[in-house]
Amino acid sequence: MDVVISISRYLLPFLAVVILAKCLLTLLLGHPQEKIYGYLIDQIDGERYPLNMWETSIGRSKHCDVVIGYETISRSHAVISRRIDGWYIYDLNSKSGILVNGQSIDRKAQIKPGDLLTLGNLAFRFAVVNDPVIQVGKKKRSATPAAFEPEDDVFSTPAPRPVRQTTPQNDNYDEQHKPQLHFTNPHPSLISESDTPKRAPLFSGDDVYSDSARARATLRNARTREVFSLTGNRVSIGRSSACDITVGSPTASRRHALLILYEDGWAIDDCGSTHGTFLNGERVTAPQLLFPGDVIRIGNDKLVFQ
Amino acid sequence: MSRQTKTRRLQQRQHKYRYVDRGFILLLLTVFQLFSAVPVVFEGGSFYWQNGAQFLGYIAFEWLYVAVMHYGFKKVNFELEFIAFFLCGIGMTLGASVSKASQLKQLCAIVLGVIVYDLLLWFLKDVRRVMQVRLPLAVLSLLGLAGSFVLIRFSVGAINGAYNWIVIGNGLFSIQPSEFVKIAFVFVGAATLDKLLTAKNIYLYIAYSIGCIGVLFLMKDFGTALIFFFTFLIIAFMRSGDVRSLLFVSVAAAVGAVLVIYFKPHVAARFAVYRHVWENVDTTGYQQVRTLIYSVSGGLQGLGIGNGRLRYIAASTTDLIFGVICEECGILLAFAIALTFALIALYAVKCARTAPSSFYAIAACAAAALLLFQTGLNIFGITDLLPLTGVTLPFLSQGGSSMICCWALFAFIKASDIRAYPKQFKSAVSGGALA
Repeated sequence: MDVVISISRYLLPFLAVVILAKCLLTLLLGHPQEKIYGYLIDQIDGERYPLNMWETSIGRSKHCDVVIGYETISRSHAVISRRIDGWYIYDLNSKSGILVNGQSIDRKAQIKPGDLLTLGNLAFRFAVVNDPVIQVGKKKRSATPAAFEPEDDVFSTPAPRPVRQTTPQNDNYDEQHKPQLHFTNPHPSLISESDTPKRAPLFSGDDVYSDSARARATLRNARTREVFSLTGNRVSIGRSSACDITVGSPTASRRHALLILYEDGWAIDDCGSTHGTFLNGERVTAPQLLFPGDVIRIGNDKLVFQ
Repeated sequence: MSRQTKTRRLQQRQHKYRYVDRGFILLLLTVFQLFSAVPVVFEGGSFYWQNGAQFLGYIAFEWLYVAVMHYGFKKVNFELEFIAFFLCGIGMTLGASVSKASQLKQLCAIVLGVIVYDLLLWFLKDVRRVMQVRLPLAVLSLLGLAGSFVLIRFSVGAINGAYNWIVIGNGLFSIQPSEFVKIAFVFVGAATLDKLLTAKNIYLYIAYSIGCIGVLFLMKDFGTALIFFFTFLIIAFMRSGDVRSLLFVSVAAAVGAVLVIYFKPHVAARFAVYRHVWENVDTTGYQQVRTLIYSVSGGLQGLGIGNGRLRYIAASTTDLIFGVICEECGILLAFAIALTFALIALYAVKCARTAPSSFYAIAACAAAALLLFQTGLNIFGITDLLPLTGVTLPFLSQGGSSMICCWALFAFIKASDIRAYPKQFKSAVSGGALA
């Protein structure tokens, strides 16, 4: 009996440490990693919001998993949930509601990959990783010019910019520097085939857009849904009311950017703004020609050129 | 390498997670429990065959449980269950070494706890079903707690200064309702994200929390009230992520506590001995002083089960069980046990990141935090680092209500691990899209 107790004094702590250490280390180290299950793809500029949790909150509040800083989006607007029988979207009593493929939802709705979700006037394409819809985007991307090498993760690389070699010098445009425009779809990775006609109604093939198209060129503010017709040769954009197009974003400069009409079409240039002008996600450092579907970001406002 | 091993390794690689070797850990557990049972079964040269049979029954139950769950329900990871079995085994052994008659009751409580654990785990599988039950459960638990208070207040009376024991069958069984409300408190506090972000849900939960903590104060069960308040803070943080609001609530609670002590001096009297145990060695500080003295006398390896002195002090197998472990099993094992609860809390936080719903994430963190806080209150209470509130040490202290509650809380932690439901979430674990 005493022998057993003497052995136990050394054996029991040892066994206890082995049992607990093995179990706890397995619990802590053998846990699955986080992963991305799907994406919400902004149909204006192609920005992708990853859904890396089973439940993802969407809203204007910084506490949300996906923060969309638009006035038309409620602070806590929606939740996208992944359940064992599929994906669901829940409306959190938002002011502007949610549309799924154009249909208003009551409180929740089941969604499928490829569905178009409209939240506060902003449209998002819902995509799931390994979904055939995503594969379409991958194939498209591989068809872009040779300079672009698609990577494994289609979402890690931004869409290639079309060739924009023009650098017009103020109003004295030099014919010798006339840009050699090779049109490619600026958003080849956008998911749905059905989007293409909407995005490119003004151009065809490798040609630049026509005079008529140029004449009815517009800018649409994605946040406020205002549409501005571009008239004259110069259109100024800024926070100041003296500008031709006034944007409400507090981070926009009073005189932020300038649209200039050239022979080949409209181009945008930054007017030395504090926070910069972005064209399809890239900062504008020199005048850049615009193509239908291009997105200009000025402060929090996104302006779609059409 | 055998084909079976190859297949297992391939499956592990595919699932991107590991699990312990079930047979090996069960074998270690069996050796541990047999060696710890010997001093109890053969105490004083006598052979207590009933206790021996109960120990063998417990070991057989562990093997049977794992076999049924693995071959019947295709479960592969049993780490959390092994930890619980290990802790329960120590508690049962120490309890039996002090009082042979208590072992059967404790064994029944463990079996009941395991049944509750698996039923709850099964119920938690469907989060939509869970959400439907929350409101009825909240009402039922609050009414039950209030009803039991009224019942105890006018029939049983206070036991150890608190109205929290329902005694059945002339003292044969006693139930602590607040232990079961702990399960409901975590259940009601957690919610799916779509419910979580609605104002109505938040206000209802605040009202429910105030109701529960208020009744516990009336029951004079301050230890459990403190645990509930801490769990409330954790749940509130998990729901909102707003630290400033929580600080405000904490300060408000502290001011409230000061006011209670000011206007109700008899409440303060219960904590008068705090930090003054050495001035009251043979009166109000009797238990803590003995715990401090005997705990250190065990050294690293302990004196051996049955050789301690703390076992002769009142509440040695409930409130003071940690001191008994220190003395008889050694500080090394006691430290490992305390660390286990801390690491389980860490595990719950890790699970929360990949949990299939915010319900699971909140419930797991709240349950783990509750267990950790209760462990802290118990250990620091008996060592006079915190006021002695008389809370149990999870899984180790004797008591059926506490045991069932601990197993149920483990179910919340387990449910947050995506591996808990291998069939449902196989696609998620293996990396594919939804089936």
